[in-house]
Amino acid sequence: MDDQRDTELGRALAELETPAYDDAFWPGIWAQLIAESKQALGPDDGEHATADVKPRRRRRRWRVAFAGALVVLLALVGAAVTAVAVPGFAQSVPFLGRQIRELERENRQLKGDAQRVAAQQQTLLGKFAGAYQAAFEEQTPATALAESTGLWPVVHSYFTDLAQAQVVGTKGDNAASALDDVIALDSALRDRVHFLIAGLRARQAGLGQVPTAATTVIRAYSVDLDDAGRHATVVVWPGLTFLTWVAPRNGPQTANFSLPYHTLSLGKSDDGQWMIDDDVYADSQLTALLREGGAPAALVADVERQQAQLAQGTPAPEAAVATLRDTFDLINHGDYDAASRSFVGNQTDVAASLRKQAPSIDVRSIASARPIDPLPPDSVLLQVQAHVQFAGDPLAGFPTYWVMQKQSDGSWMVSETLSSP
Amino acid sequence: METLDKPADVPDSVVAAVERGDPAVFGEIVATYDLRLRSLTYRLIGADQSLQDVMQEIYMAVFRGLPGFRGESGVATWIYRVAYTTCLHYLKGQQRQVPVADCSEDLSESPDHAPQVVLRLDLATALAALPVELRAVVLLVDRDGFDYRSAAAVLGVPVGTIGSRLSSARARLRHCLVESTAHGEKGNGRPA
Repeated sequence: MDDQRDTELGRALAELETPAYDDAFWPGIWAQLIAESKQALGPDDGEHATADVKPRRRRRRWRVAFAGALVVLLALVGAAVTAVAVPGFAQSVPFLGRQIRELERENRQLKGDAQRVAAQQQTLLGKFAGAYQAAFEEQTPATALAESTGLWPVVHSYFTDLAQAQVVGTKGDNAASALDDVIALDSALRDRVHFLIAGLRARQAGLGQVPTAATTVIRAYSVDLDDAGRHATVVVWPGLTFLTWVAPRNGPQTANFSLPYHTLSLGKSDDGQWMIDDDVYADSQLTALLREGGAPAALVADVERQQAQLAQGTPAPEAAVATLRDTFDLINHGDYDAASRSFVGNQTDVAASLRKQAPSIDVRSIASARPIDPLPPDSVLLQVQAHVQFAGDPLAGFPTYWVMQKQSDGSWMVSETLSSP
Repeated sequence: METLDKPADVPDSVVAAVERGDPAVFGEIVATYDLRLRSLTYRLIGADQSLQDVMQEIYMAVFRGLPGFRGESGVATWIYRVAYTTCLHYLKGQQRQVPVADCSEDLSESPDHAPQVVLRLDLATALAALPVELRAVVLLVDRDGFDYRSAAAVLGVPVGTIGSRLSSARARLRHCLVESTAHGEKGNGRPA
């Protein structure tokens, strides 16, 4: 139906001027994003002030959203470095404006000196990662527990060094060596990590990329200590890993990666120092990277078996499926208050949302799904296939994936809904 | 002041990320859509002072809505729908729909404008004189290149309504422009 467009009028309309934002606009947006992210932590965070702090996907997604916005800001700053103007956006952020103008001025002097521009980017990368780190690693019960038990510095060093070890040169070599200070001498992890680093470097070299800076931000989600305080399991999410590299044709580039949950096993040595014994996480690239890093076949085979186990997922308990079916029945009968009682969290909000959307759910199937990131042990991910009509908001979305969490009384409740696993 | 050259293509990465429900794409949405959304919002609400407040509401609504986006409509359709409904909500709160002028505003009082500038002022005035529903449809279809089905989804009306609204909007814009041009020529007339 494009042929019914009046292109001449459209061109004239497109030429109409649009006011720019004032300087306070974008900082206001960022401030709101941060506030929303913090709000998404929910008022119930205090309830998890135990060693068992459950991962919360919604929280993670809001965090990632904030991170995404931040990364685009980074990209725009990067664009400014290479003298590509972004009218009304980057310039309107006062706390960045001065830096950007300075970089633009320097950029004119540099005349394509890619290495110096990369250095500028690294400085900015560090600043932004630091700012993000402060927002991301705010004091959670799990982090507090990790700090109070002396686990946190070890865990933090491990992830920071793992990221920086990808950087070429002395800095990367030093980071790789520093990993040996936090990984137990007799653990299989020590060799594995070095083969992984070698694999990452080999792959980047194959792509013609020269990593020049890397950093990561992490968050502890749960800490389990044995009674004697000699062994610990810490679930950590490396929320965002920033990597800067120089590409042969395109010059300095910055990217970010969100990595899966890691479950670290730690033991305390006789001198009271925590050391990491193992690091388990689902990663489809891990075995390939180990091979590319020259790992022996036996080591790769062990990791392959581990990955296969992680990929199996958790079977769906009948009681969880039954609870979800009952919830859908209540929704279909318009009993939103009763339906909302199947949800963990603010049930008033859930009921209001259901009332607004007024969905009619024709369930075709409910089955267990394999989560991309590990779920807490007492949760399962269910994939719902259904035909859904909304009598209320026609643009409302119906989530495909439902996280069911087993409660202390043995019942199941919906803890989260997701559009992707 | 910025002008809108042409609707930017939506990067495939943005479409894919939104369809995955990945909220990390929010920043890319800002970078991709900001000028178009800002321009649409400005033309719909027509109030400089409130533009930023409304834009902030739009972005926060998009941010909050990303995790629930199911991909049943296109990415642009969904985002524009959020923007349009936010503008309508704002206008309802303000109890006004037509913020600016009528066709007979005397543009000839501004001397020495280049013809192109005068034309833009005329078009802006004529556009502002339209009811918000007509303004929206002509901006979506003629300026931003939405097809009728997508425009209907944005505006929440049947597809057939788009055609009739579009005809009406175009006719009224032409009428205003002709009248304004005639008025301008009269006002600029030199002594014989």
